[in-house]
Amino acid sequence: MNALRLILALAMPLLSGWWLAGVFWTTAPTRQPWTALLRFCCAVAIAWALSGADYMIWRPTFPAGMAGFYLSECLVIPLLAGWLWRRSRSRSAPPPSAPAPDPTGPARKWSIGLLVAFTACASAALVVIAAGRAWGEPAGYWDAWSIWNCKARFLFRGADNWTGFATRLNWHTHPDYPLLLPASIARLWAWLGHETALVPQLTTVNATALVILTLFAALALFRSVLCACLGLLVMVSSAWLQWYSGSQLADIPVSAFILLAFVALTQGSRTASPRLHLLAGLLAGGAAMIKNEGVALCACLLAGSWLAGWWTHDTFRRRTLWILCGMAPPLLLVAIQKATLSGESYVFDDHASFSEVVRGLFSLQRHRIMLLSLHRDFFSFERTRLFWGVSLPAPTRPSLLLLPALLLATGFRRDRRDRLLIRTAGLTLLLGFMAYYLVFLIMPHDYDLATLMESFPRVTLHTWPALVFTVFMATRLE
Amino acid sequence: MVPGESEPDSGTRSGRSRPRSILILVVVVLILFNAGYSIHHEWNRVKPLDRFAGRPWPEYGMETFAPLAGRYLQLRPDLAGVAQVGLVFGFSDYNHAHRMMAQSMLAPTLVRTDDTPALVIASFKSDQDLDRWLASVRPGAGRWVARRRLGEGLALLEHSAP
Repeated sequence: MNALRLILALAMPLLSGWWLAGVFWTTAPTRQPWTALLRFCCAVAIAWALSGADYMIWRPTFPAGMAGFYLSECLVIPLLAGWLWRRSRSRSAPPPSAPAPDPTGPARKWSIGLLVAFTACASAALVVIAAGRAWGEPAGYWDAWSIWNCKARFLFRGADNWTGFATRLNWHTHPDYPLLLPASIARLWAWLGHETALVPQLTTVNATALVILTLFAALALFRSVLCACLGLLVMVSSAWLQWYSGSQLADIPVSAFILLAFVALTQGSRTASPRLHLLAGLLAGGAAMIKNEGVALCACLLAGSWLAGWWTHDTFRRRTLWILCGMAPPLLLVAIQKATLSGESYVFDDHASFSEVVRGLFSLQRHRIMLLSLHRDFFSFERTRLFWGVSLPAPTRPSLLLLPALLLATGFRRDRRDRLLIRTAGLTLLLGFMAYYLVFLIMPHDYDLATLMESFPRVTLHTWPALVFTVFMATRLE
Repeated sequence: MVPGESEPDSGTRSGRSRPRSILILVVVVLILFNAGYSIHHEWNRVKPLDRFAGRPWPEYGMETFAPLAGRYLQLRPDLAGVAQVGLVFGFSDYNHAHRMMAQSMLAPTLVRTDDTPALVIASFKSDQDLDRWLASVRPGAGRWVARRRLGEGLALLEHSAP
């Protein structure tokens, strides 16, 4: 019975997500498997956001009547998604595109085959490491049990007292943080009828696998299998990604949604399809439903899209408007949650005054600590054991340095189809980094270096897969 | 050239100079080495197969929260339907880990860090410390009676009038 419930809880939103992804992802059918894989990744993200949002709406509105929630998940949403998909298919059925000729010779095929095998092993190893981490720490990492899983327990067990996490007593749950992650965990517990640590564990491993699959499929589709393999290898070699892969924290889910938004934007800028810009906005909005940093990244994406369009003399206003339309429903949900649940949050009470903001901006001490943390995070070297007792002074965070090295070695690619995307993505990432730096600078609390060393990698992790994707879209690697 | 497609690119494989090709090869080798090295390093650190087999984290000092979570989770059946519970410590909870974990495990019961509620969780280092605290005279405050003892200095107490 439990297995049937779990299958229903996973399959029905996935089916809705698959149909809705088909509504937005309007491309000519090809024989390439990457399009189907990307659609599957989009379907997983849409299913995640949609089912979590459905629970977030039902839980506070009808705490005693969950039958309606099950009905909406199993019947109403899938039927609606299926109807939309059929309608969109009958309206726009593009002609099938001819398969692209394969110019690779046998020697190159062999080397690519070996590279694919190596990449598959490294990626599978990361997923197993993530599962091992999650399995070895069933309660989750510090913030996982004190914030996300704590909120999920309030939602699942709370009956009428589910808002208990938002009391001043529970300042540590950060009541103003968006609720999608706890809601998606509590939703699965509600379907199963009991709590199990397996749900947050599977959620975190699923997010890691989603990031891996999305990056590979996107680079394979838009560039080449070589780029996809190398991009994936750069991404999975990040120490932060490895550390947080099985943590049950919200950072990797945010990075998955941001990466998917960039992927939809790429296809949107190639086809000039408003639906794909709508999808990009929707997926970026999904990140905003997971963490506050997602809201900041949504603002950066809008600004980046507008600036890049203005720079490229594109129809930037209409494009940015479509992205905004996609973002609107999730952002509205986040705004409603913040307005109704953040009343007793210390975050709201501790807003920095204008004079504090100015003092933070011009505080040499804060700039020094920020730059020191950046230096330690990105350029530190430590003696690390390699293997068989051999130790080398290896860089602890070399993955980031490999990206500019690759760009320098290959040069920038000149492709009109992706010019807009690369500029939009580059500006979004730059603005995102500046926003993070600024937030840490004007924070009312004084952060020490140790806290920054913990916080800064986590927020930069949000954009790490998207950064790898953008750099590999911009390189001239053939 | 089809409009919108790639511009003629001098940087294709055939058009690349030899030094540039070597440079690209070096970067590609670095990417491969870095990925292999870091995944190998992390695999050795986490030892996922040991984790699946239920063996404890290795000796390098990986802190696990499972014992702390289990300590407070066992109180949950006693607190069903209780709106608030107090929490008193026999040690310094300087980083609020005990309070936060108790709250996370016992939700939706609100965990207060004082002894004003009728039910209180006492968390001490040992049972002896707990007994010492229970026996201590607290003028005018009545006495605390252990409703349930769970060992290792943990007990659920209720207030008895003076």
